Amino acid sequence: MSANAIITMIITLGLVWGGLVLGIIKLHKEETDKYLKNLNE
Amino acid sequence: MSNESKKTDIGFSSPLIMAFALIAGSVGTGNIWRFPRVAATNGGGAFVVAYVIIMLFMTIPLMMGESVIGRATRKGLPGAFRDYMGGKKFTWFGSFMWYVVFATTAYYTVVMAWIAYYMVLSITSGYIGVDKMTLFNSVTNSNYIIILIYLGLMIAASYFAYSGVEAIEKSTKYLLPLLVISLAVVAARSVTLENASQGLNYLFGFNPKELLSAKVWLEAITQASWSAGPGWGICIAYGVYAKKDSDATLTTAIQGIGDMSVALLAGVAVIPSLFSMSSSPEAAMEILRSGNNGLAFIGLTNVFERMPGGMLMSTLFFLSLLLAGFTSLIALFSILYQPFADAGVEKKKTVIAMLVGTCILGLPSAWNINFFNNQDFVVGMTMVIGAIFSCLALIKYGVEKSRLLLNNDYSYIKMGKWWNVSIGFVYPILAILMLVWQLAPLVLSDPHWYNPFGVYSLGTLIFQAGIVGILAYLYNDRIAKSAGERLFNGTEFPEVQITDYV
Repeated sequence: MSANAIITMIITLGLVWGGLVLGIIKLHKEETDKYLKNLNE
Repeated sequence: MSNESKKTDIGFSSPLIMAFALIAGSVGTGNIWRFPRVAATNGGGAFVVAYVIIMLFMTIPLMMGESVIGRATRKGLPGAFRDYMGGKKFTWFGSFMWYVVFATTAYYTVVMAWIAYYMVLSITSGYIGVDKMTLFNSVTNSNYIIILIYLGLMIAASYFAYSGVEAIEKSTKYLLPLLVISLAVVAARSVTLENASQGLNYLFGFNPKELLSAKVWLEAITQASWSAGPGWGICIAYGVYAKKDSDATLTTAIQGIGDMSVALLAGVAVIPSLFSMSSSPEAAMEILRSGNNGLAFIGLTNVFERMPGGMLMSTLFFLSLLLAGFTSLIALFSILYQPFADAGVEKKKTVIAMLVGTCILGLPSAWNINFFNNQDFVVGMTMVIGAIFSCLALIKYGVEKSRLLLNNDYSYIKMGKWWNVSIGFVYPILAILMLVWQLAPLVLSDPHWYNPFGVYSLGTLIFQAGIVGILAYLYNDRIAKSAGERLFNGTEFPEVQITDYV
């Protein structure tokens, strides 16, 4: 596999799959915070 | 949980499950068989880069705009356009888009019936040694088994949608992970085959000069539009069920990025195995140029037949396709039901009417591939028109006002002023360019381009879209009246409405 293809693959998959994981973690955190806030109130 | 508490806690139970339901709805066969084919034949890495840019700066922003329309109006498509554009004369935009969903539901299930048939053939090793072209022709023309599978899938998906948001959530929880795992197993096998790197070079090899090619960008826009699906109303429809205090931008961003993630995974699953098992790179490219059906049902079945452990991979591949299609089908039925909920029609009557109606329109496609190809072409084009309508709705209400609605207290990602430019200018102009680019060759190469009964003619598109447009316009006032009272006050999202459809 060429170095060019490896770099493009790492950047693209890292950006897209990494972005998905980070987005899911953030949304999950928002939900948890909201739940805890409601619980405290 | 008591009935009363159930009724007050309606809509999607959490933004995260809503995001997953949106991914399940968006991810369809376009991600799994179209993306790898188009990517590898249009510059590989350059196409992938163009596709990611288009998704991030055009498609996902429009999907966010559509989500605002759904959340703000809490109506099915006709009512949503009426209320967001601020007048009953605009209802026909939504009626037109609703018909696109109706036609999609009717013909799209045919592909799923073929996929289900091939999945069974994979389990039973039933296509080994059979001429793949002859087999495909026998499956796609005058095949009673396909009709039965078609009807079964239609009934199953309409039942899920009938059971409301709770059933959509449940189906998402089980089917989406199964889809991703199946595809991941095929991808893992694919990259471990001999010469798999050759395929990865074609998929990810990046030549910056390719980014200067208009074709690469137009193909990327086409893929992003048909795959993620602005223009067929899923973001509007699921937005209707989103809680008032849920995050619209992050949820939609996850939907779009999830859609891209599955497309890239499919690329890794399909391309290396195709290059590894083909006699030469030219032979692999020939298969990729043979269209979606040629790739999945003829090219890949030949590949799986020669691959060690190929029938298991074939089963998982067709399973992932089936799940991708089925979760989209549930979303399609949900979109179809919503205007009837607004009109107060009894739910059972709506479900039966939609099931019968879509089957009547879809059965000719299940029986004859020319009819199927015609519907595939017409729906693909009208979906782009639907996306332009969404832009028009946001422009009519005001893109800046729409952006402020989107950037509310609950949004983690705030859209900058660039969002206004993307929705107000870039997307509609590029969508029109894309339509012209797709249609011009048909006119130039076909002397009978005006034929209203041609399979791929401009005439058939104008004829069918024209009939729908005229009917939507003629019945505009009646449909507008049936959508009920306006709920959107222009400043904030109303609460999710309680109906027995939710």
